[in-house]
Amino acid sequence: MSSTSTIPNPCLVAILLVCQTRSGSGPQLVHHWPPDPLSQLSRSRNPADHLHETDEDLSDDSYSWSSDDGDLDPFDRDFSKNTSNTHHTSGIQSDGTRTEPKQLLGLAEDGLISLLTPDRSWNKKKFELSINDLTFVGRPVFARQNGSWRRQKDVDKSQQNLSRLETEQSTDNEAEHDETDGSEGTDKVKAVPTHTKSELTMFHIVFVMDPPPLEHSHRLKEMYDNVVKKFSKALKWVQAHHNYVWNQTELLLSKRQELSRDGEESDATYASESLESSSLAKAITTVYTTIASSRIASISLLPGVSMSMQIRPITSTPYLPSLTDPPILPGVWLTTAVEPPVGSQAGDKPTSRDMVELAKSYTLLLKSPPHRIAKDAQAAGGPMASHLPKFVAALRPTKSFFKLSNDYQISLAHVQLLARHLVYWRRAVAIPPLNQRDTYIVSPNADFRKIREACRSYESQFPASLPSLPKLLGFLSGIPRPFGTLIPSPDHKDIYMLVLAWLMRNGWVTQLRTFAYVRVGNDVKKQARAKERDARTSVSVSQSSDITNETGKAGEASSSQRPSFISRQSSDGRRSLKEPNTKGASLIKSPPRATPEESQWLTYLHDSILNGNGLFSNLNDEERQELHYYWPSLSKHFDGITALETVPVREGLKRKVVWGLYSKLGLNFDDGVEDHEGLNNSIIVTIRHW
Amino acid sequence: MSIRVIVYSKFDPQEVCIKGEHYPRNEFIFNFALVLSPPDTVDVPSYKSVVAKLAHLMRGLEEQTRFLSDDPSPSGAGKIYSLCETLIEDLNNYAECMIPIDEVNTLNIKLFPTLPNPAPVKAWHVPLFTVKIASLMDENWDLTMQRVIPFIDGVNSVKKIALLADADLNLTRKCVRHLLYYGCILLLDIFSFNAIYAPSAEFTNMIATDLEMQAECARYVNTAFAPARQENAVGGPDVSSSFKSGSIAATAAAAADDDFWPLTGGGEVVDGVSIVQLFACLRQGLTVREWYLQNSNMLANIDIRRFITFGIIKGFLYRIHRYAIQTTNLKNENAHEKAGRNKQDLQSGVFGAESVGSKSRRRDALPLTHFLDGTHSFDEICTYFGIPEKDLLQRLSHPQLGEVVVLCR
Repeated sequence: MSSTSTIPNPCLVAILLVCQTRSGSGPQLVHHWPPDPLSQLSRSRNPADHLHETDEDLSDDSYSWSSDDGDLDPFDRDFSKNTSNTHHTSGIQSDGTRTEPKQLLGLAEDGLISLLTPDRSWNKKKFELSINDLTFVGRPVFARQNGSWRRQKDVDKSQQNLSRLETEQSTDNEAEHDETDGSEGTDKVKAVPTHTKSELTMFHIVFVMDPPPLEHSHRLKEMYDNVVKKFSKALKWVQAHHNYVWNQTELLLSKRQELSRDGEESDATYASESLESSSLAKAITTVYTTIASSRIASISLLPGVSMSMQIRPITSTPYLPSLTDPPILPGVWLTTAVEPPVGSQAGDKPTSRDMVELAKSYTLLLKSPPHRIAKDAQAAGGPMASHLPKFVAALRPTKSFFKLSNDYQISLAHVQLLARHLVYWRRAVAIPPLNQRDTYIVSPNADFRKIREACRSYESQFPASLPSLPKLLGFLSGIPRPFGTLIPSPDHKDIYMLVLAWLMRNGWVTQLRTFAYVRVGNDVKKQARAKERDARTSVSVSQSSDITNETGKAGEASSSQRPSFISRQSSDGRRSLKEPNTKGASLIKSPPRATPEESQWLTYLHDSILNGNGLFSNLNDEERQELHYYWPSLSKHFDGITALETVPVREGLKRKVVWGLYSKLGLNFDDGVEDHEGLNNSIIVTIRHW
Repeated sequence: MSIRVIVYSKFDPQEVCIKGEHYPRNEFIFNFALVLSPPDTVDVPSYKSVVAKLAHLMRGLEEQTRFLSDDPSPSGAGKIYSLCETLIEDLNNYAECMIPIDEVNTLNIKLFPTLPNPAPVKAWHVPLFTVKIASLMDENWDLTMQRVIPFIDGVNSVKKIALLADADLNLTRKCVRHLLYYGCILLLDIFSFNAIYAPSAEFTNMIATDLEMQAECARYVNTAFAPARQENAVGGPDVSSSFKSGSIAATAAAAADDDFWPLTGGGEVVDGVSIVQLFACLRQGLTVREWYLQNSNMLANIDIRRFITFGIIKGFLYRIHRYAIQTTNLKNENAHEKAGRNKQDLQSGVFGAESVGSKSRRRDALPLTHFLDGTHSFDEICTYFGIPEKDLLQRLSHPQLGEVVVLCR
């Protein structure tokens, strides 16, 4: 695990809009939010610290082995001047009697703005600039060489205007669209009608951040990929089609001029008036407030042109940090059941069979009530709006996508599309369908600081006849048992499953899943080798000598290898002579990718089921036949990564049958390693975690 | 975009302006800038102090001797040039430099890697050295540190260390945090036979498939190689490699060849897979004691505490802590605060700190009910009151507390 914290931290300080116009007055700061970024910062921490924070400052009160930063920092001088007039901004009028340079973010504004105005070679590229602890990240966009913002081709077909940038999909379309017209030199420049020429030659939306040193590149990338790029692309699109950025720029600049002429150049007035009159100012404010608090930013630039952006937080993690690791956000779902392992081998394209398997293994758990999602979908409009309400109403966390698709006659592809949409916009998480026969435990990452509110919400949602939330969690935190054992009668099943969904949704519980390896004991190894030797001697010489050679080689190699942890340490050959291999059992990492030697062992084990050797001596013939028949399809999942709970679905078998077979293979969760006779001869080793 | 161009402009200038009438324009402005490789390949923040120091030193030099403004040498030569040259060579090759400039001034710079802030250290955490601290320590170290260090052994909790060293608890915590910052120690939980441990999702990537780790574990837990006096920690997954090598090598040398596998009570060898099986047998709802009873034969020559500790250090095992929730406490909004205060007078005789003995009789002592909200582990409560878990359970069953649910997670 990297040292990067997974806790959302947008580190957003301010958003600036810088524009350059044809008039040649140089780049201007058109708008910025919040009006006084440094005071916002100082509320959270001391701005002085912020600006000179050296890496020795461990931020802990008691941790002051920081050196001598007293007079060391020349920025002191600038800074003391700044805070008072951080934003006598405006930057439009120059009344000649300039006393001192205007300040923004503790820096000289003029200088900063010219730094934020790169030349054309940065068009649509990531722009990054760090000054002290502030990092400016943006994506400048320029008008075309001929002064227009659109290609002629686009202008021609502008009648059929796509206007919604609502969904991720459509933003992507827009992106492609955008890219194609990025290839400046290639397209033929027709005579562009003058009216398409805009006054605006460049705009640059800049996000100011103050990421902690160790998370610098990670936080920046997050912000750029998810917000800066999308916002800049969207603004480019509306500028090209509606001359939007220029109109808004003019509006904002004139507003400020007006105010300063009236002599009341108060930032509060400007801030409130700009919000009222300019949709772009409003959008920038919305983006700032929502992104800074790690929420989804939904903005509307023009009537009918809206978009959403977010930095997606992680919804689950398999990783439980130790005391010294960076913590994870309490309440985050702890599980390994997120990456669909189907077709995960490199190069494998998901086949339709994989799709079906995936659909059978997963379902959605909604994060908010279906009616609210339906309402929001309706309000937001877009292509999904008509389908979503029906879909969310039909969803059950106990029902797999496959069943859902069958019951409601929705195609699997469609289900997937809608599900992805809901997951992406934080309305749902994909989970393995809840089942009363599965085992759930109190999550080690459950956020018990919220237990009080949780109790209240639990009591308001579920009848008082159910055990109280602490009691229920008490049951689930003891010896792990299938959830069904909690349910007093079949009549209670539905309500208990609702409770389980509620517990899952709020991160109180997680599924305890079982993983297995095939264990090959010493005796098995010996017998497998003996059998192999017999087989080899019986092979007539005339028969394909190369095969004999090969198996011979494999045999030799393996005998000198086992157990490999010895020989791996030193390759001096001494070890192989001693043949310590008689000592160790082995686990087979992945039966489908078994080495030749491992395959021998597996074959031997398979055969020994029929022969009734060892562990299988208690089984009757019929059971042996059955186990022998199913062994290949079961054993291939004993790789420590595939949860045994998912095997019935994957193999299309009955859960009861499969678990019966598991227990015949020696699966049990109650005993120690050795059996009653003090022997350790299990065939599978099982581990349970989330 | 098919070709992604990432343009970086990242610089660390520290502009200095010196005013003075002897300058032709009455002021002298200079700026020492460092040009670094792309930020993903270099630890940029560590250079901040370098830039600041350079600016500071140069300002001094300029004021003293006009070091910068009065250098007549052509470009590519002269004292400033050679200073820059030495600086870049030394920083790149040794990450530090000591350049004498004149009789009184020397440029001393060392690049410190940017380390994350150490995790908070609590009174119930158990520190364990990952280095041979004796070889690093000298008499100039902090006094509290010198007192505290002998008691850090992977068994004592921070509070116990403070008691044994007769040091202030908060100072002890700071010492431990300091050691933690430099990666000299790891933090563990308090081991007891009543504790519950279970595998985490890392199990598959680590002990189950890593044969080296199985062997390392065997050497670490085998009572035949019981360590002499000082505990040596195995290298944790994140411990910086320079520190961890020592202790492992030492143990490895002691365990000659393949005789390091512990034996069962019956004289059989506990091989790597058996170790995996033993770890896999640790699970929710099963205390170490119960687990030991189930597997006593195999564990005959295994140091149980070290066995568990090994899993914790590597991170494939996690401790399941017990927590208590007083259900009446949760009922209404302010119950918690009120209960805390009202019941304090009423119950302090029974549950409060006063009953615990003179040691913890502090004015700001918290009542037991304060800890019963599901966020304070039994380790924490027991450490706070200085009582064993058995006593705590007894107190929790007191009728005056009402219903108390014990949770494990």
